[in-house]
Amino acid sequence: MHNDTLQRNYLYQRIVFLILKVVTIFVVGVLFFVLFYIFSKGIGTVLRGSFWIEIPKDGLSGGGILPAIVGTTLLTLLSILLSSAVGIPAGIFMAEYAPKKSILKVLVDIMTNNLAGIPSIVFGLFGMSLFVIQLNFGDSILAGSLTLAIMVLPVIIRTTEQAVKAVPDELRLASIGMGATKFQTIWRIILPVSFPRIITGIILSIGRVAGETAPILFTVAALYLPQLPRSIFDQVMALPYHLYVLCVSSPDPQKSLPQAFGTALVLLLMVLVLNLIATYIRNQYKRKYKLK
Amino acid sequence: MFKLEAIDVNVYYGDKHAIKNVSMAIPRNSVVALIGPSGCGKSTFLRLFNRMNDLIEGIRIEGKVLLDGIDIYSKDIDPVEVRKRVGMVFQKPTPFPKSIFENVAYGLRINNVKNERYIKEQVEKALHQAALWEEVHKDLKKSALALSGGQQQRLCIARALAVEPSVLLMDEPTSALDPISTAKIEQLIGQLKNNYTIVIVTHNMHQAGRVSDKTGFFNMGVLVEYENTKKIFTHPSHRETENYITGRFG
Amino acid sequence: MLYRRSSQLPSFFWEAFIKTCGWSSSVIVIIIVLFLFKEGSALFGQKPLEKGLIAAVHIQNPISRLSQRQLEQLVQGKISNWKEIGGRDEKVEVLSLNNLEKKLKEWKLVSSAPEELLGGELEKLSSFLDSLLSQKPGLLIILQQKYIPQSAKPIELEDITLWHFLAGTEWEPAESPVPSFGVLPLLWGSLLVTIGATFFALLLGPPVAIYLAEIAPVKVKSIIKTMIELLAGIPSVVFGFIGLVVLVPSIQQWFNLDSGSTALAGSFLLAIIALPTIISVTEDAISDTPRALKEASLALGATHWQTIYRVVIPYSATGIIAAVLLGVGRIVGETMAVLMVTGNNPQLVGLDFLSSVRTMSAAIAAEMGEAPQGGLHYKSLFAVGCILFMLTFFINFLGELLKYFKKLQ
Repeated sequence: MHNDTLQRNYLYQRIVFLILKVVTIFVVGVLFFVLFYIFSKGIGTVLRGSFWIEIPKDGLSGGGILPAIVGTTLLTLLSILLSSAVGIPAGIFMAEYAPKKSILKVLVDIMTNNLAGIPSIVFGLFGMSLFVIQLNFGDSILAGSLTLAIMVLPVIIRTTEQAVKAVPDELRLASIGMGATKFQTIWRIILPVSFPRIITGIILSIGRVAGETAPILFTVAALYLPQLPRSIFDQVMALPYHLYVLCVSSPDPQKSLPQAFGTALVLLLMVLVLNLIATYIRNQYKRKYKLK
Repeated sequence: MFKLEAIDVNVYYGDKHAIKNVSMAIPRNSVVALIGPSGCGKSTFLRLFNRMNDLIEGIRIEGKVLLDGIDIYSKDIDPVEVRKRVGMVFQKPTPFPKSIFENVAYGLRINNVKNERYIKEQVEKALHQAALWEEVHKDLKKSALALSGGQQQRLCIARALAVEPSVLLMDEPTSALDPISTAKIEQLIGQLKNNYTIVIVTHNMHQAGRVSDKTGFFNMGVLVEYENTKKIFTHPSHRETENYITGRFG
Repeated sequence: MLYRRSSQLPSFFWEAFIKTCGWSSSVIVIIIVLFLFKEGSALFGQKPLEKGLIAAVHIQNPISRLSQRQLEQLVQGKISNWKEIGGRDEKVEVLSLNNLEKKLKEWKLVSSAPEELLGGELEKLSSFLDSLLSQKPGLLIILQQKYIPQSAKPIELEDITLWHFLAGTEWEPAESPVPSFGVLPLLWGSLLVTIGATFFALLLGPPVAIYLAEIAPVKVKSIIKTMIELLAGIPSVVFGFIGLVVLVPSIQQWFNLDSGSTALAGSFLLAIIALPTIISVTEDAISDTPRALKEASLALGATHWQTIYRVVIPYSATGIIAAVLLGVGRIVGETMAVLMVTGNNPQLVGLDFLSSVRTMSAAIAAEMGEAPQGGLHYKSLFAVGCILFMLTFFINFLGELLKYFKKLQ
């Protein structure tokens, strides 16, 4: 090959690689900008102790976000609980029971992907129509949690399925070779081994549930509710919806901006902490089982 | 009566005829080695004895396999029960990610044994039998994954022994181990023979010669020759066997 | 001892439970489809007036049947004379409770309060309309049954049709007395924002994926991947908020607009939201390229970039397209971010990214709160939900199909 051509090719490669690098830096930069911007503008509000323990005051421009924190916590816990109760067994079914390469498996796969692809606002519509109206739960924690649970179900199914599939086949065979039944193998070997990965997935989906707004718009979220809920049939405020309200329908959006930054920072911190926990568990797990 | 007996067994994977009309009788308290080139069907044949082949999709099994005179492939037999009686050790050590103690106790726990004292006794006994007790008795609570490869394999043997099976199947149990660990396991097989019937698949001809009483040579799904080990290694009656043993093919 | 034992009850129960749960996603999808389409399809076959309202004209008016389009045009004043739709040469005047007072003042029939004329409870309205009809025979009255005078006859209205919904160019679902349910402006809003977002996502996503899969050192790669995972976790409402306080004012300044709430702002935000999906799936696709293939190219003296460009990218093309489709699937249905930054004006704007649009998802989120349950508006929003569902289903299905073909390769 001509030396010139080679030179040119290398120059060309240098330029392209530089562009790729710049784009990557830009994307990472956007993330940093979002983090930094919200952090710097929200930290003042968040450090004010009353922000965490008071109800919103002065036309949403003062006080705290306690009802929203409580509301989001309740909604998230309940929906993750409901979703895990169905999603983990469903994931086990997909990985262990559904016959591979059968039409049944393909069908369930398609349906699960389909469920995962449904826009969150459509879940909101569905939740309102079924839980709020048809089953007459009204706007309530129950209706909202059920809607969120359905939304996050495919994520939990997939996480569980992948975690279970990642368990080496040798362990399965060894257990069955010992005379264990399929269920004993799943219960005593596969679940304990895959548990950290399942938990990691669930922690990450907690972040997703807690941050979703569209599904709770018409199923539970209250614009302003200066009290804490007493039963699962009460409405609650929720962090993401509260942020939306502060930006869009606050009496004076300019004055409630510090509150909005504070709320956004709380949401971000939540996601950050959950991600850290998930990464930590994953690393521990990798070390323990020496997996890749 | 023989401990294990295969009568006119045929195995098909889809269209592939993997085991062709094989019969073999295995006497009680003996060690039988199965040898042959890769893909000859020896592993498949081994797995017939505890119905591990059942797990493979699209497999078809014909013929009879008798354990203590009972056909384990007859309709009213529970494969799970068969596997409890016929223990198995695999090529790669497969310790469960549990403590050493719990690994050995696994078989008892899945049998719903609740008596902790009995479990403790059985675990200790099995670890003694597997010649592992001296090395691990101080840290039974440690994770089994922390053991060396050879120790892990002996742990798997102890695990299989803890439920007191009468037959032990070994599928190339030393192929992933270093020579010292291999020697320890071969020595162990010699001791276990007194109480168990052992069938071992091996790639290592010398190993077959060292540990087994009888040897079966498989090729292309056919049991070419099944004889006393001494005879097969000194005066094989088939040309194929001789070629394989002297290392001319395979 | 070898014989089959009666199955253990607890494990039998649990296995049954596992198998039942296995069907959960399928059952839920079916229920969602049922509810969505039940409520959505209820829009069609309805009269295009709110419940209880009747449209009536003078008893001698030869028009006895109106399509929804005609009714809308009459109300909007686009048809000002009955002869335009085959009636007599009479000027059209539309009278409903909304404009009653205004009209009466316009015609100088009342000076101050209309109660004297119509009675405190509107009990004299019907007889008043009788006399009004004789003066203004071109009157179109849209009122409740009890107010319709004797000299008027009700007009038969054609039902709202699927075609009218799909091809209608106006979205005025809260307009009284005659709302318009043309989904085109919303559909176009969604498409426009999606097109813009896909453009940005294509600009940003694959380069990052190629950099990560092929060029980045292992350590940098793992750090950036962790960050992208973090990016995926940030709630869209937070992006919407950032868009509202940073992006929207900037766009307003850069392009010198009255308002920065535009399709452009929505597009950029959605691209950022879709990036994590696109980057990670693309990176997987690229990493799947067999090592031997790459080495073969390198061994022929190709540079690293030539190998990427001529071997890796063609090999992983289907996977990359699948990644983009899956990202687009997310974009189309995304709600909160667009709701906050696109200005929410349901209009057909062509390819003008600097105008305000309302997407389908934003319409549902913004309007459902005010739509009376079971009313036309409520049903129409469900119909929009159906379209959204089908659209995302189709896009995701294509993406999955491509991924499947990729596996077959």
